[in-house]
Amino acid sequence: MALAEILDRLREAAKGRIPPEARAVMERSVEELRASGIMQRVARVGQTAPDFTLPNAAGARVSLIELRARGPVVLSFYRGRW
Amino acid sequence: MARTPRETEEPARLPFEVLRDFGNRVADAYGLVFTLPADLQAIYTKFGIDLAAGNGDGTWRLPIPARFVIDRAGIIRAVDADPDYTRRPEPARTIEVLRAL
Repeated sequence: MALAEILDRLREAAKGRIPPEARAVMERSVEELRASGIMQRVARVGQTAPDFTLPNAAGARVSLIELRARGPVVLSFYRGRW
Repeated sequence: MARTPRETEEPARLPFEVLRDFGNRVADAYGLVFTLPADLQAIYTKFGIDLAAGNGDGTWRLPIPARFVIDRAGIIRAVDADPDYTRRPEPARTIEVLRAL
C-alpha cells in the first residue's frame, strides 16, 4: 500500500480522537503555515545542499560530505514522536 | 531528530544514520523551520506535549517534514516537503529518483 493511503487512514482515525475545537486550531495552523510562504524558502533542486556535521545516536559525528562520498544521500527531516 | 528514549534505542538496528539536529540548525539551513503559533502551543500543552522541553532549546520550533535527495557532488536532485505534517513524501518516488542517479 502507498504511504499516502496509510496516512489517509490515520488522518481519518485521528479526527475521532481530537476535540473539534483543537482540530480547528491544528488545521488552521497548517493553512497559515502554507500561506506564510515557507515553501519559497525551502532548498531547491539544483542548489548545493548545505553541508552539516551532526551527532548520531552513538555520539559519533557524521558529515554530509562523508555520507555523499559513499553515494547519493537521502536526507529526511522529521518531527518527533511525543 | 527528536530525543525520546525509545528513539535513541532504535538506531542501532537501523541501516541508516539517525542524526540529532539540536536547535534545528540544519533544518534552518534547508529552509524548513517555523515556530508553532501561540494557540497551537496551548493545545499541545493541554495534550501534555511540551515541545520546548523536548527540543531542549526552549523553543517551539519545528521543521516541516521534508526529504531531499543529494547526489555525490552535493547537488540537490529532489525535494519533497509539505507544511501539512500529516502528509509525508512517498518512498517509491524517492527510490525512482535514486535509480536515475
